Amino acid sequence: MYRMLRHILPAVRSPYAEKERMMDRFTGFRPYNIRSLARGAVFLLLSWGLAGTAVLGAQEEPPADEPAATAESSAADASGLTVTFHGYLTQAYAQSDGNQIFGITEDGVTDYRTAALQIRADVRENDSFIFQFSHERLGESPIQEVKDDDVELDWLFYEHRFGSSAVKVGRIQIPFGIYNEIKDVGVLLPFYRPSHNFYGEAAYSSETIDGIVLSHALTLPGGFGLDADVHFGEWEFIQSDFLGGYTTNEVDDSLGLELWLDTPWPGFRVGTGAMHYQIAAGEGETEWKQYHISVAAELERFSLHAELKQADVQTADVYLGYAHLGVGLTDKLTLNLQDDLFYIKVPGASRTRVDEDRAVGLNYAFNPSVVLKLEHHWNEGGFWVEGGVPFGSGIKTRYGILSLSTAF
Amino acid sequence: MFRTLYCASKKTALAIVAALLFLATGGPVSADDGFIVIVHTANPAASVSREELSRIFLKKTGQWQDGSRAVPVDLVDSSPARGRFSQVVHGKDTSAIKAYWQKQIFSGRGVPPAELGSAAEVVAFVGANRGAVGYVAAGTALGGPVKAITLAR
Repeated sequence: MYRMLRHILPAVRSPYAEKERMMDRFTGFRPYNIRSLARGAVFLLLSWGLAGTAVLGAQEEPPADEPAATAESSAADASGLTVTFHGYLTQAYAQSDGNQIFGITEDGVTDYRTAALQIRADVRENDSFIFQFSHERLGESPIQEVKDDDVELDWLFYEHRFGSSAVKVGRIQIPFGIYNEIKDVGVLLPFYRPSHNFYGEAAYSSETIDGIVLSHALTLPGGFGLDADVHFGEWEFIQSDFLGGYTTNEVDDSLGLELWLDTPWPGFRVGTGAMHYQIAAGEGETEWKQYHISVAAELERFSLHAELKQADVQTADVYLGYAHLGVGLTDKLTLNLQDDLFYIKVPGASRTRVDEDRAVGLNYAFNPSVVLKLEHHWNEGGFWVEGGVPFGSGIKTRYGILSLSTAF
Repeated sequence: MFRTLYCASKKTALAIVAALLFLATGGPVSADDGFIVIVHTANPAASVSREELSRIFLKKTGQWQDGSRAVPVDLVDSSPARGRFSQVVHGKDTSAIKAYWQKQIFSGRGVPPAELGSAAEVVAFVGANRGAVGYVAAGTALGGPVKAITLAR
């Protein structure tokens, strides 16, 4: 998400400067203060310690009855290493009724897709290396004018599992909400994309973090279960400057917690989470906080997903949320309805609606790995209209998307 | 007479309550469910609860109750026994379980159990791996060090 949106910078910076910034991120030097250095040192020591422990464990002899891996698309060698390949592709045709929104034009676009290839190497029972490369096209969106990387490194991390816990280090998807970790996997989504307000196609969140994620699953009495994830690290996101342009924000010292409660009622889960982070702004930093709550109910014929996020961005409070209802008309055909909202409250003013997107769609699942979707959206508000006024009221846009999603 | 009727009614009521309790909690799963659960003969387990077996197959736990490693193996999703297993053990159909695993895969959290194409392959796999657990259609011949265990609801 942030990789495509960081390019939406109208005349503020050139594509070449953008590439330089990308290179600096991986190879360049950034002056850090002592506090950041200390935190970075602790993080690195912890990561190396865990990785070293896992490597030593990987050198042990495997048990005599180690089962042969026969999973699909996998290869195993004599040492027990198992490599599996997975991937997904969603190809779409999209058209709007006039305004350009999310790269969708009145003339229609077919340069609209997401795809990824994942390589997972299970070194031992409890140790894995996972890489995912992705490809994304967003029609006529301004990002495509400067985005020349057809394939990007989506995420790569090392994971060590111990008991009901796990630690991941590297570039990792942030555990956040129902869809953040799978927001481009079309076969798992009711629409082409999940809520753009809650998951922030253009602001306030990121798909991945460069850092560490600790996870723990707890079995509770009464059939309840609790999944907890804590993350720490750095990321970046695009933010509208509210003048029709965008700026890229570097996020440091991001600390987040995600909790999910499984209930004895099959398919019903409740989640909540919080994030606290520092945003580099000029010579200083600003502190942002966000909290969210999520509800997911997936029954045999019905599915309900609702999430609400509140973010304190210092100068305002923003409220972002959505509600989705899916109705299984047949075993393969599902009707989806969604209302997606974005409100902002500035001190001294009343709460103002910035964006609302109502959607209806039909999904036909030939099988769990091949899904055809047809959806229509009624959008009101200029925030997501490209070239529009971010807080302009009364801007209405309709757009439709026909897509085919596959996965293996 | 009224005392006799009262006693008979009380016994009948108790019998009805007992029957309802039995139905509510469920008895052991039998081959009439369309499948049987199989493990290696070295596995000391004689039965497994539906909840524990579901956790094993969803890889929410990697161990049997005695602490030994549990290795689940599935049949291919076109197998009728797989469909019955999903409904009885997970309480969901096969497509819902496939969606669960797709989410696990693409969030980097895990991969599903191995899938084998036939009951004979499942029996062979379980017989070759002490911690393995699988299921086959009821009436499948079990050869080698493989035994059926009871699935308690």
